Amino acid sequence: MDKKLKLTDDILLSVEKPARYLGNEINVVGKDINDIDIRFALCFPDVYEIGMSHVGLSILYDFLNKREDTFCERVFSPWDDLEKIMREKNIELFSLESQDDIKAFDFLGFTVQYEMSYTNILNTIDLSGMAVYSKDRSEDDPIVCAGGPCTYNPEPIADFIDFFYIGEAETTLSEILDLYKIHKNNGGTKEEFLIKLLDIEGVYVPKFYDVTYKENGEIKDFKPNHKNAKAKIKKQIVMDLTNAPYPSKPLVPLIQTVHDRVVLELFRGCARGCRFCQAGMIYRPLREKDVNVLKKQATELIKNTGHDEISLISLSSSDYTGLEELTNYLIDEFGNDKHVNLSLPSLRIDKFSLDIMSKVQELRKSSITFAPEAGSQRLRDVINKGITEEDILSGSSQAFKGGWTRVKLYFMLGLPTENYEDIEAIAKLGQDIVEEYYKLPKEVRKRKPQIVVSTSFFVPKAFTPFQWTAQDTYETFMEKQTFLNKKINKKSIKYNCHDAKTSMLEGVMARGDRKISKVIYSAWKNGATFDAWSEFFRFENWENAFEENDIDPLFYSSRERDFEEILPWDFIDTGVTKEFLYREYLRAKEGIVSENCIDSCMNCGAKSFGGGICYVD
Amino acid sequence: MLIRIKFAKEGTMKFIGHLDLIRNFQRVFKKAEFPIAYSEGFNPHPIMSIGAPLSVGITSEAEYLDVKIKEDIDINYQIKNLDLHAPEGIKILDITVLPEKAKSAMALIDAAKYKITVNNITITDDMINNLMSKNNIIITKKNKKNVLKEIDIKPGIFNIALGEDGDLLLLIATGSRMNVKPEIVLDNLCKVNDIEYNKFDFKIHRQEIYYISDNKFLPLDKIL
Ligand code: SF4
Repeated sequence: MDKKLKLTDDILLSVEKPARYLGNEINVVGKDINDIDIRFALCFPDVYEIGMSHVGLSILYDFLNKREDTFCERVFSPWDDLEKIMREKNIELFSLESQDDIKAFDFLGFTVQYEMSYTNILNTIDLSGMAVYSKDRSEDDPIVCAGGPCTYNPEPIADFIDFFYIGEAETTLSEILDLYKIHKNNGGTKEEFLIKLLDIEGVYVPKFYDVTYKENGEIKDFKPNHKNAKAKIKKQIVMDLTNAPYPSKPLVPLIQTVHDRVVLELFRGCARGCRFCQAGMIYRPLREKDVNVLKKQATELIKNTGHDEISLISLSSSDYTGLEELTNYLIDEFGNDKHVNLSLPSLRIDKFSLDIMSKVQELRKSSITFAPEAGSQRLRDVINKGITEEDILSGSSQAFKGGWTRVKLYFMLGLPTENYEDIEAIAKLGQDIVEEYYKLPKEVRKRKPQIVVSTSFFVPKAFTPFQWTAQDTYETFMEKQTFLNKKINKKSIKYNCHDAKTSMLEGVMARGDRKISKVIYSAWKNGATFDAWSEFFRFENWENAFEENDIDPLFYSSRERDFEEILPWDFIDTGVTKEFLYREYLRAKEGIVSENCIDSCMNCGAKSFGGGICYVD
Repeated sequence: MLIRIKFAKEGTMKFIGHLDLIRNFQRVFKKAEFPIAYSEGFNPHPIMSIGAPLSVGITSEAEYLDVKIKEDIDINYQIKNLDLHAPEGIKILDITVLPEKAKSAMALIDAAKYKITVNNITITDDMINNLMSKNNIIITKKNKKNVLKEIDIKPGIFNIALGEDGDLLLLIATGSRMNVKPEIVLDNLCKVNDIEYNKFDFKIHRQEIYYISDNKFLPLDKIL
């Protein structure tokens, strides 16, 4: 029987990629609404092809649907062509699986991966036919919740979300659903349910907290206004990743997405301690998955999806203890007549990884990637990026000898303490790599090397040692970029540069407080959606939004904070202590490097989770 | 060895375009552990091709996919096996082993038959006569060099008639020698009868693809 679709054929055939809206993928979950208690609409607030490439979404979908009493369905942001039609014809946003209106659900849950999707969250709530501010929604509307890396500082979107879930879903999210089921059967108001939630670890209900501000705009006081509300919200993480549920039959889209591949998660967390990296801090401690489980999952996943690529993901794959064993196994098992490719992003470039890569990649097409982040050793020490010039030059040299001719280099402009010599060092490092190539004997140099330098702008993030630092202003960013652009020898190096406006906005959101909610609301009202897409991004929407609300963005982005200041996200406990972060900040300023968790423990506080790398000798 | 797989493309699969359909078949073959042959060289890819790609929005009960296999197969088993792994809306109907020197589907195809359900408007025999009594039906089309060219599509309309239930039946040229799209015929049918053409009034369904041999229309998997 044909699936009942929310959109008629004439609408579907007049929009780009109608398959975004069908919910007919391989391994899609279907449940009878009459047999379940909880309807959960899980939203990745961006276009289908982006959301479907995100492994976190797939894990959550699987996790929620493993519960017999729950039906989790997906929602994505409709592309602007469909949105226009929906608004014209008053069509409300719907889920892909049952094609029912979001309004019919118990929960609407967002996974928030980047700040520039905030306006899409508002747009999703609005397209669903609900009020955007939590306080204006009715009892009949779904409960709106959110999680994901951006929600470690939930404050900028606190006014739109009924509750946040801080951490990894596999722990107490189930308790929330159990509680909801009882609540739903017994009847009761939304408010009553939210009060009950206050007993569950990892849950943050913004309405039960009050914020007051000093005259200078800093937070004066942040405290619970309900007796059950916890003063600190502790992040939730899975300690036993090996036995954590993992989707064995993930969805396989019928249209091409950003990544169509099987994903194996080597570990969560990171041992490295780069001082700019939020993921490296909030997901501590590092927790590995057993190599034998990964082998089993690889076989199962290829069988159940038919994909022709396996990707090993983690924040720093070279640190995985079973990497050699795993890659050898995968190459033997899938390499030859099975025609499955292996991809290994985030590898450190050394002899071992070049060996693997030459086995699994077609040299002609692939390139070698380095992310030194800073051009000079001084600045790399400041950010604690444990990679030396020697590593980079010898790595490139080995890669050139191995037949690669393309090298990509990623840097950040505007890192704390950066000066113009550091920036010039970027150009120099690029040139030194070019020269490494010409050191090779002439007969091996078949092609001209292609060196690509890309820079992004540094955005200080909550829960990093740089959470106190001032971000460069837009003008400074652009001056620095222009300076670098002049220094780079364009004959041998290609330079990718950007506009800094988005980074400046990210700088505001990443460390924003509740007052920023109004700005996001105004920007959305002014027409901002899909801000992460340069074809849709319009800075005026935001400029006007700041003005309308009389808020100075520089107060958030380009202001150095004191250690004593109450930061908007202080009430969230990631395990990593504020004292450790500050210690790291002071060491950064002096250019003192810190050891990584593999070599020695810096006592960050994450030991309190009682497992992971902190307990490995 | 080359085989020709006959399949139907129905339901929501009609929204999936040609390239994505091919990608889906690649995954079906992998999941079904089907012994498809790969090309040689740096970047091996499974060897397969579709004769006459179907436009998005059109359903079909007779599509043909030519595939090279590396070992003998049990046809009855593989029909079921592939069907089991195919996405909902793709139905594997038949597999035919092609003789050694068979022409590819692409080179073979001459015509296709469509059944078109008409909504909101009524098409009558008179209307069809108005179109077919013309000496020629000229359309302008961009050629490969992006230059507009005039073409007479009348020789490409082999048959056009009303079915018992008011459906429109169309047998038109398809393939590399001459290609007439059903939408173009419908557009012209509306035009000669002073009706506004709205493509959503017509639900197009492909019933068969043919090649012509000895003046006879033979389905693509009927190998002589
Ligand atoms: S407690 Fe030590 S080993 Fe554990 S994450 Fe922190 S620094 Fe690393």
